[in-house]
Amino acid sequence: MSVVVVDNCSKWYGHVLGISDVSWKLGGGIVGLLGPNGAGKSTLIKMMAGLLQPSRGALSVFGGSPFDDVAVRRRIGYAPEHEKTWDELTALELVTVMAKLAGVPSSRAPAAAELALAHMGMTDAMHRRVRGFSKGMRQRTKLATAIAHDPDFLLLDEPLTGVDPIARVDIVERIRALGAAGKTIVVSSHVLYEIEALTSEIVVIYRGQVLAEGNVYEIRKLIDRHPHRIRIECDQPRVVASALATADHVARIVFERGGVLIETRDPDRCYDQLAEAVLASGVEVTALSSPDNNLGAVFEYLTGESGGRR
Amino acid sequence: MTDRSVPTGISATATIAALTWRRLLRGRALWVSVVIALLPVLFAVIHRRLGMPPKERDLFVFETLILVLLAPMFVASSIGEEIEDRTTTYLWSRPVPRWAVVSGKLCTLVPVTFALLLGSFVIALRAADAGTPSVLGVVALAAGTLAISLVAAAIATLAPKHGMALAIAFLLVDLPLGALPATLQELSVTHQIRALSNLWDLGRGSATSGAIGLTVLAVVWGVIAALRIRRLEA
Repeated sequence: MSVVVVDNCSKWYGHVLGISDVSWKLGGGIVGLLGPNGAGKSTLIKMMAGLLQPSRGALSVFGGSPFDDVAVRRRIGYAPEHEKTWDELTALELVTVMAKLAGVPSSRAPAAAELALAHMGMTDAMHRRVRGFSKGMRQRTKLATAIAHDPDFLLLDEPLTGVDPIARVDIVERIRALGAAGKTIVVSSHVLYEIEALTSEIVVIYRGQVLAEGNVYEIRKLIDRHPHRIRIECDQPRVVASALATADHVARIVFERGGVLIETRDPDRCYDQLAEAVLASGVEVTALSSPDNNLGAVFEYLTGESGGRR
Repeated sequence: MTDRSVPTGISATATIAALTWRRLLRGRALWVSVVIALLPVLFAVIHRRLGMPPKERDLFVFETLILVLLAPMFVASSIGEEIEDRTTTYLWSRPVPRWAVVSGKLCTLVPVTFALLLGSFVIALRAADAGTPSVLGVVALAAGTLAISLVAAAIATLAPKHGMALAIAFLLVDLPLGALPATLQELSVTHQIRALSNLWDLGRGSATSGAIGLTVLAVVWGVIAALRIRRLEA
């Protein structure tokens, strides 16, 4: 039985489209929702969490409506993307309240909250007020509020946003441990490598529609077919260009002010050859960037070419 | 393994009431309202010094004015901020009935508002050397606090962003509405509070009609708040 069934679901906010005619089934495991900001990830997550109702179509979680059925919401743990919370409370007080409201008996709620905070590595800070927390600590506390009542289904909206690299690795490990413990987890992000670190199963959302779904490697291959652009800012752009001009993976070279833009079909090989050329020639590279790291550009490419689902 | 039960409306109300109380104690709103509640006392002291000590009726009017400020300050801002700050996403994603958010807040904020008003009323009467408050005066203040809090809650659910300002504006219009012809004044919450207090000569049975009118208006506004919050999305 599917945990989530989304059937021709659409959601409008007045005249603004949240998601459009989405149909999707989620059986279990960890699934990443990938898409640029404003793609509709949070709308879909909020609908699954019972915070929004579909404008059209139907959405069920564990066979019921999360908006109307409290028994369904009892089985869901949700961590929103925004940072706002009741900052006057300590982490332990906050998670305890959330556990009580999720149905954990009052006598057991503090212990459940302590356990959830410990699971998120927040034991040392649990008696401190949320007001003084860093972004990473807030994310951990939010995740603790989502797991304190031992839900079967976790919805984590951008849980890694703004978190420093060390905390990111730690949080990823903890989320993966929850998945290994049998929880069904949906994690959203606009950064591909964040999702890749968590799961190989992804759903790509763009402009309110499911653009692609499946194994991350298949989707990465799809994305990699699109020429990848690398902008090199350096003192001798012609030297760099001549070193790469004969490579078969290079599709186009464009000289720009203060640098050169290379379009390649094989980014890994291109980066390797670029490093060799720079070392051999002594060119001083001041900046290296990839405009395609903006997922929006890749998604524009995917929609532009296919006009729909892949 | 955690218990799979769903919290009842009453237990959710109690949890949200405790949360509201804790936040109130750690915030500034309570201390600001203590200062506001002291204004009738200041009024009584000044008038007594001027040789014109106010009567219970005068002070009751002043307390009603304070109520019109305090209830929106507590209730409308509490509900409005929750919706605007999106902290409702935490509450509404839990298996609790939506009305428990309003009832939980009212369970804390109505007694606090009433305690401030009653304290202010008693001290102001003492300062004016006007004795102790009448029983109906106290009952009217208590019932009025509940009714006006429900008005503020409903307005906050209808317009969360400006809930407090709109509630105060609405109630400031409601105050003079009581002076209008009989059929219109029945719609005024503050008029019904005055009628219930029996401090004015509003005809026979004014306290009873005030109690009935106040109950009807409170129920209407309460239903608006409950229906509205049921359909609100985060």
